[in-house]
Amino acid sequence: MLFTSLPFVILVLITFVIYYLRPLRSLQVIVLTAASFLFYSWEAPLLVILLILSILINVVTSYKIATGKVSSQKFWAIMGVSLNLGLLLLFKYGPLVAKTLFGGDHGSIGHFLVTIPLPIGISFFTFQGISLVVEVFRSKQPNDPFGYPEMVPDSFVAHLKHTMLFKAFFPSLVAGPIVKAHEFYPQIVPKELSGINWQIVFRSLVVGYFLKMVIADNLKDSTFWIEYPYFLNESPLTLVSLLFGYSMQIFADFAGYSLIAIGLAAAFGYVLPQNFNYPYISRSFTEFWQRWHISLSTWLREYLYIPLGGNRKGNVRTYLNLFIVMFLGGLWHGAAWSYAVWGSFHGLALALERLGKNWIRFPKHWLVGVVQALLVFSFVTLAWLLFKLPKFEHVLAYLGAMLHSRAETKYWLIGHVITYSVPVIGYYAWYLLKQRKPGISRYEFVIFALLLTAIILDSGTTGAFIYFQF
Amino acid sequence: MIKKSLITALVLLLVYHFALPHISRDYYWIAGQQRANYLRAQKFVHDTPADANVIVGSSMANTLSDELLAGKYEKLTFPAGGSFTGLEIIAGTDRHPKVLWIESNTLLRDADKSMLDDVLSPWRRKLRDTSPVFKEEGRPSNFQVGLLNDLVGKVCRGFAKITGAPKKPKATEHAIDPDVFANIMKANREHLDRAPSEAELTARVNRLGELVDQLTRGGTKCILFEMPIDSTLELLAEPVAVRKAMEKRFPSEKYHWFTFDRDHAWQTTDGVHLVKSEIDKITGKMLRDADAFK
Repeated sequence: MLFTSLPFVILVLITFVIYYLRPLRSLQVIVLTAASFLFYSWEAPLLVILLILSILINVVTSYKIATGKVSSQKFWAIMGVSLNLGLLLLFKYGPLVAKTLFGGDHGSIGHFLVTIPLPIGISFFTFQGISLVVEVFRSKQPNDPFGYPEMVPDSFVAHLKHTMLFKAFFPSLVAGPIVKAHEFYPQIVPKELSGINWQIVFRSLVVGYFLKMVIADNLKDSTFWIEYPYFLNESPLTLVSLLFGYSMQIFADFAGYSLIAIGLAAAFGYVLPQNFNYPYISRSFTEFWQRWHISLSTWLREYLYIPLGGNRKGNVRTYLNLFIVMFLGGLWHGAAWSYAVWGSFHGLALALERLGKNWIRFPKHWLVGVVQALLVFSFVTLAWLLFKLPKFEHVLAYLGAMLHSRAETKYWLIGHVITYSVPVIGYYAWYLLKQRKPGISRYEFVIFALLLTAIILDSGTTGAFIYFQF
Repeated sequence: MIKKSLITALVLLLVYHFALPHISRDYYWIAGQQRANYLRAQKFVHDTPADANVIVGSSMANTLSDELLAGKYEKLTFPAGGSFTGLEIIAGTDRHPKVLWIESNTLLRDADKSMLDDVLSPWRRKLRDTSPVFKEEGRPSNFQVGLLNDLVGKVCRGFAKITGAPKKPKATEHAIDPDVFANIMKANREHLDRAPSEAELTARVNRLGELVDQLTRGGTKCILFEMPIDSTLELLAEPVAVRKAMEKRFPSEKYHWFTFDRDHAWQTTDGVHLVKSEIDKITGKMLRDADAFK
């Protein structure tokens, strides 16, 4: 079910009314969980079985860690993480591995594995499950340095109920933000209608739907041309514009989705973590990853980078850890080598940046900052090609055409990209302006009115969220 | 803030509603094939007479000459789509064209569900009848893209003049670079050389049969046709399978078929879309022969 579809709006409205009915207050968790299952099963009901299996794995293993013998805690933690990863590997990477190892002939195991559909959101809810198992395990260690709150109640049924909501919570179920267990469990308490922060709900939903429906859904009609071999018939200027447009689209699509998720969660009394913090003004790759898909980068830092040793084992090991984390982070996005190349590119950039910091000191001038931000944006944008064109040879063909194509420039296509990219630039400019002149916020209602009008008059045709495929 | 935003948005909508008919169309551009498809579908639903003659199809039939068809046929042809979208729109609006041409090449492409939801939704239709701002043609961005199209064109041409960049060769009918043409042909071959499953073909051809029979019962003369494509592509697995399934379900003794010369080496821009001179020829022939079917 898409956030932009009518059935979804109806589901949210009905759930909202039932959720806040006073006599049903004690059933809030169940109501929200039931709505989440309906949301997830709308297109493919069978997928719920996988979600339930994933929930059971995490409920049992985390409960065993919390209530079992100290000597068996490690066993259950390893079991929990392994089973979570096993599911992810089977469904997400099984087809790629099977095709490579067994071929894809009819009747073969390879063919069977290749035909398994990729369950929507599996990467997201699996990572949430791992966070539960790891955090419960860490919280049970003597001198727990993380200070996690108590997440597992004594009653198994209560833990099952809480975990079902944690894993299936519909705003973040299929494309994040990836919520960590310690962020979510303490929030599972009865909610009041009067407790809703309507400002957050309104702002997040309006900006989120604007970014998704007006910007991303319209830009996709232009970036549709970034497809082999059709892009070969475009001029270098058109190709540069299209790539720029895709960079804007992917941001608007994903940041828009995250904001809608945050707004919806707020309507039900839950706070989801910020997922995007104006990433395209980053002056370094390190800063970019502190601003882009924050919930994934913090997850990778907490559960992969730090356990690998982080930056505590010398420079060389730090560079290697950065590279490994980004390589795996790239592969998290999909079972294709182009994602691994994309991750490696970012890993290499982070490692080189860290290395360069030891020798190069940039002057602290605003102009230097602008140049740095433009450079980072350009490299990040160039790397998005690997998302759009999963075949590496097509990426090279695109880059070649950007340099050598002799086709005519399509001015309207550039005009279209500019039309829908300017509001994204405006979104960033408004943020920077507000930082300098906070008083300007009093005119924000005009901006929100314009965004609402644009949603009504200028939404694009519905398109699935890009990050659904991950 | 929330209340103020909502009221201001309402005021903006009202202002735009009254201003739209007076805004100059000097700078106006419907950007992209998807937008153009929606515009075409909405125009058909809201502005076309119920008994107008119609052509349904994909981008192949969409190339048929607008100039020659003007006033005689409405094209409900959708690039990246197929005949089913047009047929479902006709069925969904309870129309009965006098003559309906149905392109068979893209039998395997299902109807565009999003477009059908959009143009057939009763409340959206009512809204669009109330105000043009809710129609595709009323989008504010059409004016902005039109303006930018002009501006970017001027800047690029000015820049080329200053730098003395060599002029591009004048576009010919075969506007695509030969290397690009070869790549597109290769992609076409790969795409069309896959035979569809029997179940898929049967389901599609049966649905088409239901729609054709329903329209025929309502008094519409349905004429089936296959748009010519490059001769190296027309005998690949998919076109052959589609042709066979169509001929089996719609035998020429029972249904009207319009056929083009198979021995002719059709000139295309990319393997599947005819060049303008060929298009003019076949549009003329279709118009002449349509009378014979009456």
